[in-house]
Amino acid sequence: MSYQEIEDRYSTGVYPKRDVVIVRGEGAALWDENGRRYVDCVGGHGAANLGHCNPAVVKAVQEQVARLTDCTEIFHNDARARCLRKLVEVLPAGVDRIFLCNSGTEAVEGALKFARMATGRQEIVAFMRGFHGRTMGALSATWDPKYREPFMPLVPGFKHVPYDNVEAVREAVNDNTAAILVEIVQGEGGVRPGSAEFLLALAEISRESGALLIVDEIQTGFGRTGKMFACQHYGLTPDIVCLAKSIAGGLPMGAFALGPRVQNVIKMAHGSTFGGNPVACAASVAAIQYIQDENLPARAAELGAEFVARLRGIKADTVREVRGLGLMVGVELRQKATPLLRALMDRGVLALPAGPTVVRFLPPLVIERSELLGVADVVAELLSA
Amino acid sequence: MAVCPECEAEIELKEAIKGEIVQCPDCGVELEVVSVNPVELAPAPEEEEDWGE
Repeated sequence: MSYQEIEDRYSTGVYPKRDVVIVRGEGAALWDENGRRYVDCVGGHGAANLGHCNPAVVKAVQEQVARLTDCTEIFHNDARARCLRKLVEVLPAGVDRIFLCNSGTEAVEGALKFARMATGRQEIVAFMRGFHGRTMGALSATWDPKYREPFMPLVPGFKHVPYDNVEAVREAVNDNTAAILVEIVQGEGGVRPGSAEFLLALAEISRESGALLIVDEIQTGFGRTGKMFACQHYGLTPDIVCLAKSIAGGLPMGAFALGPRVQNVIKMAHGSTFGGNPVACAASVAAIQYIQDENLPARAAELGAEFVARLRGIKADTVREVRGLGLMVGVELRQKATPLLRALMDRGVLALPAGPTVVRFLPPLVIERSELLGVADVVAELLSA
Repeated sequence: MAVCPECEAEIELKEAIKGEIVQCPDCGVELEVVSVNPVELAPAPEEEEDWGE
């Protein structure tokens, strides 16, 4: 049996996989089992900001995995301590207590639990088109009915209101609201950046009402949008920040970080066997240091602006809008995204959808300028054909 | 202004084109523009692959 046949036979079938077997990566390039090279604009759904097999991350992992592979949080640990210190160094000021876990959905799950624990309230206000993960709490905050409906009933107490609509939030928040949960740029929901007015109003509403503001930076974090975290574009200091994806240079890791309004933390109320794993922590320290040393947020801002400008220059009736922030870019079409995604793959470019009509580009932030602009040219050629 | 045939939400469409695909902002269903004058929407054909997050 081929690798493809083995996966098709022995996995659950829940993923609609593409007709390719990826076996190797370096920087912004991926290779399939036949040696064909692809430009990666999927970027591991945002987990590969530093590029595939980033040498700094590889070195840190190799050293740590040979030294100590597991250490639960009932003990102190050097790699974990360094990771916590490094995260606090880059997080917004005052957001300085961190719970380490293993994925984005776990980060959201924990943030929701801490919001309820800290406030003694039950309700969560989330947004239409929002995506926060697939475990039951995070899924309850996720909007798309196709992700939710097979698993009903979900966790009670969640409301979804229109994104970028301050009045709708004011109407939804009450004295039982534990938190407002928001993405600074909606990713899976179509690459939709929130307005500054909207995002700053959320901070104000949460302060006035006693609710907490949870910002999901899982996809937008670690340089993707042109700042280390997208909330920093607006001087926004969340009460809880959810992190994952590129936090550890491509290794599975998540975290949520708490600001000063999150109090009443009860001992033993939350935990994780693998959370704070020393190998993941060592990778995270190396990844964040690399982002700082190479100034990847600035690179994302600069390349993203050029990429968007090139895409906006495409003259094709099928393009409804090009939008994004930094190197998180979406091309909304008047037709389904999948045929263009398939055509791009035939031309050696891997990209992903964000809803039915948006083609999303999340290239590693280390991608070469010429390669990125070449992707825009391929898109132009395909849409103009 | 068009109306979602699933949830009856009002959907604003600028310069609609026949065959255009939109997603209802309220209920999330995928819709196809089946006529433009006036704009009428119908459920869009299902796509097998999604490749979402």
